[in-house]
Amino acid sequence: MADVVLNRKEILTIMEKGQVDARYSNYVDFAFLPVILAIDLIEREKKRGGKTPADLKKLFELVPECVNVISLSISGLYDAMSDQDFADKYINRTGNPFEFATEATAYENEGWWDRVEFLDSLKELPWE
Amino acid sequence: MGVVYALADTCVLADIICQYDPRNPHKLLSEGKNLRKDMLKIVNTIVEDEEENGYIVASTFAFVELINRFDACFTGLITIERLMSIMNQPPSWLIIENINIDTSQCFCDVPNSIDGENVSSDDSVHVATALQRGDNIFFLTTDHILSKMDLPRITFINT
Repeated sequence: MADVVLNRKEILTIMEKGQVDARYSNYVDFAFLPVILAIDLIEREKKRGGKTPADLKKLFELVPECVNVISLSISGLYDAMSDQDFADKYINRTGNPFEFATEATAYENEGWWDRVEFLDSLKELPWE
Repeated sequence: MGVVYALADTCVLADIICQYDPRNPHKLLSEGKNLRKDMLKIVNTIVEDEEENGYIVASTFAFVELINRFDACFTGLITIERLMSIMNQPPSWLIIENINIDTSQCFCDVPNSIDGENVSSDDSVHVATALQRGDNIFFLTTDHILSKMDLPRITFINT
């Protein structure tokens, strides 16, 4: 069973309907959602307009228990930067910091996911 | 008087980090490009106080931005190893907040524009971090848009 980060469309489905699509639940034990990715999604919803802050907060209330929302701590970022390949990729990259922070989440020391699969699944996410 | 909190945005934090001396952690700082006079008074009140009645607060996201624009932020004044050492062992007066579900909830309360000017998502994360603390907090920023915000418990300082 793969550990995956869900694509943006699927995250929005989870947040609006409170359920993981059956197509995912057939082959995923736990889905991991970096909180910084959720913030990026909320920003997109803000720009679309039509939702109040209360509406946006409700989206988080609907995230089901089978989705593991992961924080980013300074120790997680430190661990990410201790990986030379990761550091070489992001020092002075001047790219989207949300992409950087999302990928750094893979290094959080919660210990029970496969980092390689986690990082591979992030490659599916397009960034601006 | 209660504990003083002052959130530093990325640019102000860069000025503070440049001057931080781990061998003398309570040494007073000086004005910098972004660390302006009124901000400096607040920062130095916190930094020199060995009783720890105040804290500088920064988001983990600020460190993401500092690494992302390392040369532009530090212009050769510190090395990446020095920044890493601060991440690993910050001074006692610096709180580095996680980006967590509380941050995302507070992010929803940050307006995405003020007087027709857009607030960047990067800046909104810093404002959300200030709201997340739930206490009165100074927000040190050179950004003129953020300074126009009217949010509970946050006092913006841009001079």
